[in-house]
Amino acid sequence: MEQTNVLKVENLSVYYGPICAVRKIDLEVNQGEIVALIGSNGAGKSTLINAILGIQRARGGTITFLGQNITRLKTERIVASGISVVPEGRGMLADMTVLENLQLGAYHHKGDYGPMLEKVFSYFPILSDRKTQKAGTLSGGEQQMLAISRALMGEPRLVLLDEPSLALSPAYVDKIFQFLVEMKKQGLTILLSEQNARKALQYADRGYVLDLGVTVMNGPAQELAVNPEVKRAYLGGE
Amino acid sequence: MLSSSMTLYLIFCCAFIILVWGALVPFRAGLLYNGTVYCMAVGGYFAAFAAKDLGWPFWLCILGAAVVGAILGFLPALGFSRTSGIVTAVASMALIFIIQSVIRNLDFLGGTRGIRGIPKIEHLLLYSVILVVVLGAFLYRLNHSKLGRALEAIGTDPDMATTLGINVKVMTVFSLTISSIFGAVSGAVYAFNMRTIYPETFGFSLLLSVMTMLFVGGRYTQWGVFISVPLLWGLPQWVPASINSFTQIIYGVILVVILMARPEGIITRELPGRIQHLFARSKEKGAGTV
Ligand SMILES: Nc1ncnc2c1ncn2[C@@H]1O[C@H](COP(=O)(O)OP(=O)(O)O)[C@@H](O)[C@H]1O
Ligand SMILES: [Mg+2]
Repeated sequence: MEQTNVLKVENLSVYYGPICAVRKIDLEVNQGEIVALIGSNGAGKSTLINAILGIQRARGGTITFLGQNITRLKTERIVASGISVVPEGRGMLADMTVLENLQLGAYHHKGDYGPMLEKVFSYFPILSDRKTQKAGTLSGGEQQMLAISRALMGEPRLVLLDEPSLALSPAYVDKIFQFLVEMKKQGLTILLSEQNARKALQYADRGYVLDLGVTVMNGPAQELAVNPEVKRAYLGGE
Repeated sequence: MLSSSMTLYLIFCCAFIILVWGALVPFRAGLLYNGTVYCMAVGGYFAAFAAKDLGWPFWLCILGAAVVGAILGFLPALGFSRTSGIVTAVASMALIFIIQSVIRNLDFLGGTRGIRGIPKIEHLLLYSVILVVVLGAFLYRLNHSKLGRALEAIGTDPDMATTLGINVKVMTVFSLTISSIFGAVSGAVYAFNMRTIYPETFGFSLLLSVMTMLFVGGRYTQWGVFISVPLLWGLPQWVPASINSFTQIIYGVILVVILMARPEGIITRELPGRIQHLFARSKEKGAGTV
């Protein structure tokens, strides 16, 4: 039987005016895996994520989600169809409360989001304690927990995370990756971008290495983590 | 029994509370919408015409005003939803001038002389209070619903709102339409209270009053209007006649001072929560001593 891919990106190109930020990228994310996009600053990771979400328009290629071509859909339709995002810099609605942020995450939830809220609160009790507080008053790590929790509130099929470890202390980075692995075990599919290649490859199943808008390598995370080229370029040599 | 001038005053307060609520809905989504005054004119004229020339009963006039207001608010909203907040603020101001000159040129609406002799409505104060309660309850429900949160998310960060799956254009049109309904109902109440209606009423000075009431009361909660409207509507009646002609200047000064000193208005976003908190604490204390 063919493996069930949740997301399939084929031959995708994205331009900013004349500048090509993503060039003919192919990528697949299968049901229940964590896939990491590795690359230095400016490699095109955010552009790729934004293109999947329809925030940036693809100039060429197709994006298929659960068998449906979403390349030309509007962002709100794409989100409604089951993709959610933790944007770079977390995208807190800083003046709204923690609870309101979470409720907004469930904007497209068809039924009762109560059980999901319980679940999120049981993983991150701090969010429950702070639920009436403005999101902007949380610490960076707490905001990242909130951003991830918010992305899960609508019970999406696929979550995109743009540099979740950015500006977080190491303790939080592990906590957040462990949470993602836990969610994966419960059937969630995850695509994340990271400059922190070491952590990302430690927790991911597969990885794609991006450089100047093209995929230069891809494969199982353990293999990438020991690949000499990856080591030299992204893991600080050895 | 209330004196007739007091009744008049209270009904005006009801009309303006509804009107400022109308301005509050899109404001939550980050839109300064001046079209509520335009819809007030639409609703006022519709009610006046329907009551006087068609002989419709009060509640049918209100309902008709709401429907016509919704339609005439919805159509320009379709255009505004494609533009920025600044364009909406300016273009919706233009609606006020457009409706004024349209009415001036329509003979069946009395032209510049307006409509006089709008039928007197018994128990108008009671009806107005009912409208305030009903629309206030509706607004409360809206603010605390998924749609209200979506509006606030749009006002906070439209790009993030889109990323959360909120259709910013549709929600913009929705908020402007709701706003128009409030504006039109307010206009109808105003017309029945004045018993005459003419185009000059719905001009820039009315807009200034509405904005002052909105900003003084507080633009983040629906409760501020219960302070700002009675105060500011009462002001011209209470000050000595000699400076009465300066009301617009007074409104302007109050608006500027409030914006500088208390940008969120008298009733800030946190205040209701803090008051609740205070009550909860004093209750706890009370329970502790028993
Ligand atoms: N809004 C934009 N306008 C023009 N160029 C952009 C824009 N956003 C990103 N780029 C360019 O696209 C390339 C990829 O950027 P980005 O996707 O943000 O990379 P990454 O997320 O991997 O750091 C970079 O060269 C960047 O300068
Ligand atoms: Mg980036």
